[in-house]
Amino acid sequence: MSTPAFFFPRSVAEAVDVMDSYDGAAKLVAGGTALTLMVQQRLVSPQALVSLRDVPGLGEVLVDEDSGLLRIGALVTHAAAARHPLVRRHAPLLADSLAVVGNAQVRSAATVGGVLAEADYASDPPATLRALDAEVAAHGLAGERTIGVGELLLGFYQTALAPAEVVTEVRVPVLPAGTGSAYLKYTSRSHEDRPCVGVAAIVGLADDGSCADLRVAVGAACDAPLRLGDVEQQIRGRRLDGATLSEFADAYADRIDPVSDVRGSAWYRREMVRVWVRRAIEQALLRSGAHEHSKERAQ
Amino acid sequence: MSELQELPDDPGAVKLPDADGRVPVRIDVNGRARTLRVRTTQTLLDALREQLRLQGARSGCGVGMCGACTVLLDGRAASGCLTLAAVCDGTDVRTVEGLEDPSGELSRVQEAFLRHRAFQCSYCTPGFVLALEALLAVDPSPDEAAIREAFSGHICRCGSYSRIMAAALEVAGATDRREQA
Amino acid sequence: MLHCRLVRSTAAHAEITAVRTGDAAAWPGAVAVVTGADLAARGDMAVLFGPVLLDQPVLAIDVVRYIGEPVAAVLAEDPAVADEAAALVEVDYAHLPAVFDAEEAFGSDTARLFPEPPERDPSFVDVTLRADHERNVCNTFTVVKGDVEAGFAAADLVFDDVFDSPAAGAVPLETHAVVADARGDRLTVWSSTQTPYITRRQLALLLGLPLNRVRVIVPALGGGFGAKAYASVEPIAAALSRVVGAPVRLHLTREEEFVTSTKHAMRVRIRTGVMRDGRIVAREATAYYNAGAYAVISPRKVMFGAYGLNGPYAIPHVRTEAHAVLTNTPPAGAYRGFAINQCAWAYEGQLDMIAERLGIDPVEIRRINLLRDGDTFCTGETLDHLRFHDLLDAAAERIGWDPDEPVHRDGDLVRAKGISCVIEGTITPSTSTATVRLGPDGSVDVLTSSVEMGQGIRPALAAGVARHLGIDPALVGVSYVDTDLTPYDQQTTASRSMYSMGGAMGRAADDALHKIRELAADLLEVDPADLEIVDGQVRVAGVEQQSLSLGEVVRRSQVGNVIGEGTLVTSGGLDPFTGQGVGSVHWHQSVGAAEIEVDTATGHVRVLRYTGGVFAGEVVDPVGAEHQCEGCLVFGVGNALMEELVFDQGQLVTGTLADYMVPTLEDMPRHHEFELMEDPEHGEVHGLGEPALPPIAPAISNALYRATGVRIRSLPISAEKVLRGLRERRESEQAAGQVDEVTSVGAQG
Repeated sequence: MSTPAFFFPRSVAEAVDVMDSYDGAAKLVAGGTALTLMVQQRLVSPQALVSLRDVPGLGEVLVDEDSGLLRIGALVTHAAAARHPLVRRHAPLLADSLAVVGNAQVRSAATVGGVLAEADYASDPPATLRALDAEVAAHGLAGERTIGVGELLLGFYQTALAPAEVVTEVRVPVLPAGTGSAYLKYTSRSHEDRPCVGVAAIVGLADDGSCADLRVAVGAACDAPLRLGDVEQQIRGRRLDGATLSEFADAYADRIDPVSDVRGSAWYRREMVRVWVRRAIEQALLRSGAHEHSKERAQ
Repeated sequence: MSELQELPDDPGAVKLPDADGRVPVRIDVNGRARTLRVRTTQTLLDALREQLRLQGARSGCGVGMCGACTVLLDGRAASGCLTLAAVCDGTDVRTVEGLEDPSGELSRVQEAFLRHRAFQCSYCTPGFVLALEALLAVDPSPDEAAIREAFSGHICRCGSYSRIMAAALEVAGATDRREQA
Repeated sequence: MLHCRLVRSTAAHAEITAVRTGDAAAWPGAVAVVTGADLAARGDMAVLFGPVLLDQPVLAIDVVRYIGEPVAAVLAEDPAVADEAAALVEVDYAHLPAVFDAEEAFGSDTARLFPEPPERDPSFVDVTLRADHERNVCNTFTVVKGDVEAGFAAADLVFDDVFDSPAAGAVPLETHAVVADARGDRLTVWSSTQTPYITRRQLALLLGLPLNRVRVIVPALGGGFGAKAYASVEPIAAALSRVVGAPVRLHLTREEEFVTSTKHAMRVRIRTGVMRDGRIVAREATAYYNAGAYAVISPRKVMFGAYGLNGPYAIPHVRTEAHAVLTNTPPAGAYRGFAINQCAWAYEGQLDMIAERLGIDPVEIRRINLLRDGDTFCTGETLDHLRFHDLLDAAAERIGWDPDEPVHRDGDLVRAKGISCVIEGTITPSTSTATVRLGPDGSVDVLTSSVEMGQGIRPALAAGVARHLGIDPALVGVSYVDTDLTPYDQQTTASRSMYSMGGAMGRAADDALHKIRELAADLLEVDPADLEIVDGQVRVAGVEQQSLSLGEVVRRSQVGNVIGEGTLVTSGGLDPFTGQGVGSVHWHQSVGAAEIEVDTATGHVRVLRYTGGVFAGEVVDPVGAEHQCEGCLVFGVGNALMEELVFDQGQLVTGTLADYMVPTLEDMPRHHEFELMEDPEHGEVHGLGEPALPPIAPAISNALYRATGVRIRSLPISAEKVLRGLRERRESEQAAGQVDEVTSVGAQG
């Protein structure tokens, strides 16, 4: 129980080296909110703390025109990303989910890299990043690799990251124009409770009004964001009428393996998945290009 | 410490704890440069209260939910209980004690809270005051929604929310519904 | 000064077979590690405390009775060192049968918390005990009025329901904190207590000191709400200070706060007999208050609970009984709305079910039954100064009550209104004393042992004294509590201070004015009877030119200061077997009305509007009164919708503010208002700390009932319970529909 050493590396490579030298006994500090809590509550007792504060280049937000990726540095805070013009324009879904995490103080400290590296099942952004098919860039001993968020998040506080691997960037594919998206966070108790269920939905409609693209990820209800690719596939080409949405929401509700806690039993969470998947899709439809067109026509 | 032998040549700025398990940290607190010796796991809240005897930031929950420990960290509202003191090296920290100007005059947010008697036990008050100060620094005339947003993560268990909002709306220059009613 | 960190029990009910403190004691910086056995072995102090029963060990001895009970204490100059060393203490337990539910614990064959009945605190005399530790009961209180069986026999309909309230946390934002210095032959304690004089008595008894060598100093508290009443952390710090010969500080973490004092969980079976015209003719109720592992103030709580179950209604035949039952959960203590919240939750919920069954509007059925002046309460007292009907009518009008108003629907969202009424007593008998000291410059010191915890007693007393003396409130300074200096007060609980301390203060001010008059008469060479005191000026009646300010009188008579003293003692009390006597020196009367919106797809309830009405007697400090009512609303909304201490086999699973929810700004109704009904001729000032609270949860629940037909019988009204209720209702309606079809087919056949 000796006091951990504190490192302030000046590059990602240095950070990786320090982490490696402690062989899993060091902890990275990004925004520090989750880590401080864990240290105070003695859930972790690291031998070393490694702050990324002095590592340059991890605070950028930019759009890579060639790859069509929105690239967000790992140290960009939730608050900064949520109000960043590029994030708002190219990934409003992500901005919406970052804007509802915890409270104002948490959002001004917690980072987009940290929330993924911590793999907190009950946070909001992981589900949206999963729905967006986002990837992270991670630096380790063997250099950089990219990991899809679906492959990164393995379970409760479990990731595919190696002990000496540092998330440096989150890469979000920019959605085609006219795509609608929504993140709905449902808190069953206080407004500031962690979510009972959070649902991210992305909808693109074909010219004939049929579904060209539907992606839904459910967060906070099970160990890692749930996406059902086969169910999403099956719905493409169909019209998103009430019966179809019910069928789709039922599939998520039936296949999720929900947690049971003070925010809701497994039964309740399943029912809430049924409700909020549907509501999130309906909300996304309202924001889709098809809806904008129909509004224009109506006017 | 055997681990250190395997360290890279230049691990950047490293803070190795001394025999008491402490590292030095330089923080500008309420306009005054301070050097503290803190444990690397110590929170900023703890350092301010126990070492600098600044009691304006209070411990309420220890998990970033109640806002009683709010301070301004480089101008933004931060939970002192979720911030490690060691990473505050080189930062500017302001507590409620640092809000009054050199002549001892309270800030207009503090004056508004007093005028509206926007507190009961006042344990939460510094947190609400600093949250509003942080908001006003980036948005001098926030609307009610923005104020409510800034007050997320702040609990007033005594139930002074109405008067806190009235004080905040007055400072924000927004219409004070209470006075109108 | 040394910082204390407690090692707490991880077993719900167990014998302590070993406490290994060696590693902790050897930890660098650790000054001492102390166990309950260590304290007992010294022989220079008592090791058990409690305001009524001496049942709670300072540190556990031989047995632990709840998870979280203090077992050992580690002391160090650096709190972080104390934390680290405390983690090194190892305790071995041999588990005993444990029981967590009060009704199960009542007469349990398997689990028994105390093999031997504990002794009484000899100075606590106003509660007659009917403790029965063989059955885990630390007190029982019964109220009998009329002939309840005859009442039920005469009733047209009898309703029989069970309601539950969970344990909850008071959650003062500042947790319990104490510094104790027992060096020399004295004990000085800086404490966050709401009961300085009771705490002084408890500590004197513990350390074997005369009262005047125990000094309790109470600075302003960061909230109390009942949780800081009676000694809890103070005996630990005091005993440890004596052991180590140094001042000892103990400041609880939030997790510790949650297991230090809780709101009683309560289950009540309530039977109510009514006539078809809506009159209530009989009520029988049996309540089990979950006292937790130690009695604390539960023996008194059941008295409030027993008469509280009568509700604010004129019922000819009543039999209510409340048991305080010991279980292996954290000790339950005082809590805002002392025992009455749980009662109101039951009887007001049931009354709306009765109203619906009888086809009577909920407001109307209350009008029919509410107590009126001259009615006899279940305690045998004839009541007067009742304002229930006025309060109800006004609340109904403010919320826009319309018996024929249809439920509002907008997609999944449904809106409706609900109403409820509550009667609550204040602690009786009760004693307050106060001193008013006039200085030669006209300023006034008020010496009081009322604790300021955010409820605004200091500004309220300042306003009251200023009005009494006819001077500017800015001239009045009100003390904080220091038992070496400020005179006796029983306690700062039960919304009693404005009535009791306010009354004592008025008498002290009168006493001071009487002395001023005598002094001024000498100065002016007139008969005291010829003097009048108006707006802080003493003058010969009718002669305005010859006037002296209060300060001038003090100055010119060279008496240094003028001291007025006042005492208010109320008498009364109830027989614990019949509940007859004087229950309360005055009765808090309170009405609430809520408009809620429920999302029928999720079961989530939001309070859109709330309006309450309370008979205040006279409002001394309008802003403070408004604060108290909004504070009640925070507790009411929390209790109704989200607050619950959830235990799993005695282990608290909602032990942080990330797991235990309290209302935030966004959870509060956007619109709320309270009517503080006044009657200056009545000549009383009522405390407002609690009365607005008990109607809130039932009003919200009754609104939900009107919106959806779903009756929630167990707080909180969680979204999940509501959704289950909606599903059950839908299923039973479908089943009923099928039955109807079958019947009609049969009729045709």
